[in-house]
Amino acid sequence: MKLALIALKNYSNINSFQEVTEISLQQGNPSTLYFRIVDLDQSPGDGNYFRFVPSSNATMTVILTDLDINNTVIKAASMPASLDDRSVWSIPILSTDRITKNSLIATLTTSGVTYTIYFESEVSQDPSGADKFFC
Amino acid sequence: MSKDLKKAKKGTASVFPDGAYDAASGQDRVEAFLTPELFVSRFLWGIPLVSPITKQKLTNEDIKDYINRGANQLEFDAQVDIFPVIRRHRLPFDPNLYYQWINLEVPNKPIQKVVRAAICSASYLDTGTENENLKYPSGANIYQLPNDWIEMGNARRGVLNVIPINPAFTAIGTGDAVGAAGAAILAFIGQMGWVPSYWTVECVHGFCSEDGKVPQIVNEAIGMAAAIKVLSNLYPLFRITSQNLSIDGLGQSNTDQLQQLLQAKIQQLQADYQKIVNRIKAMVSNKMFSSNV
Repeated sequence: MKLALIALKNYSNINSFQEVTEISLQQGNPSTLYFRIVDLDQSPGDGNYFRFVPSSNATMTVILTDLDINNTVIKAASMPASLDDRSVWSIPILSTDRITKNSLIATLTTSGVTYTIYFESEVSQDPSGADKFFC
Repeated sequence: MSKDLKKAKKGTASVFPDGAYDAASGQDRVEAFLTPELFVSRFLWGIPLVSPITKQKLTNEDIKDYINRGANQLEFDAQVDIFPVIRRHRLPFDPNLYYQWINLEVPNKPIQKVVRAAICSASYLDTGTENENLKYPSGANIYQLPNDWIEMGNARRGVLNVIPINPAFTAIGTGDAVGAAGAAILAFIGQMGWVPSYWTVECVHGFCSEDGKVPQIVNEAIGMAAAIKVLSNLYPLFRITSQNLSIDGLGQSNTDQLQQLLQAKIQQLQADYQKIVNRIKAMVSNKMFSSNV
């Protein structure tokens, strides 16, 4: 078993979302990042993977890492549809959070086992505001 | 993995466009890193990304891999860091450069921030520093230059100078150095010859301080490098490029030009890619050379 997280776009409920290979978030704008736990060892093909459903009392924390340790934030993830699909999780993104490319690392504890999980999708910052003109 | 960069010294101007510190809105010069969709629309528009033999399609996962390979190739070809990376350099003591305001040329470019510049020992064992537990420990801090003294005007070209004009009369280095009176070391080392691995300089390199954003021109080069790889895989797969059918006096001939077109596109991309790589190299390199050779 090799767990990974796939980002979900346009999530409205458990029947309406898209799995994406890349998702960009605007820094400074609060939003919610949805993602699904998948098992990279189990694939029906075409770059898709079977979901992984943790136990009902599973917990997850997500670390937004940064080169600068002052910007590193730890967040508790939650299941938006815990009764229907426990493979889907979400974290709130605050306006103060710094988004950097592929900077998310999750720790999932389920049935007494702790897994460190990385994002399979690319999560990056969408340049907005004055940042678009120079760097 | 992370480092405390609160006290790191920033550059005086942006890395891209070179030397800017403010810009009027209107033209986007920086954008998100190339996505598979954007890559296909910019570089492979209209080209069927399907094997003519097995009919296997190129998925977004595959394209991501090509983009990643393109980015790595550009970093090597242009000798620049695209995404932020913290490097530790051990630079030699050169008396000639020392007398030119401690002219330190760091091999990797561009420099976004300087975390610290110090004189460190070769040993890190039993020095009592937290370094000992790190994966890549630094030598013991003998004397750390105050970041205030570091001149960042040419940092984007990889050149740092130590110009202690403002605080020279009061500062004696920083408190966490091994020897508190380490400033004296700067006075007498000028008498020494060449000393290898003398200065330790830790810098944040990369085109963008905000990870995930790159200059459009860098995305352009990455896309070209990746497109060359995609097309190079695709064009030899066209096994049948021309067909001839003759029955008695009647003949028919069909020629498929797609293979030649793809080959021409690869050549065009290779030429364009080389031009951009040269421009990127020129943007962060120096034309001046100074040493004791």
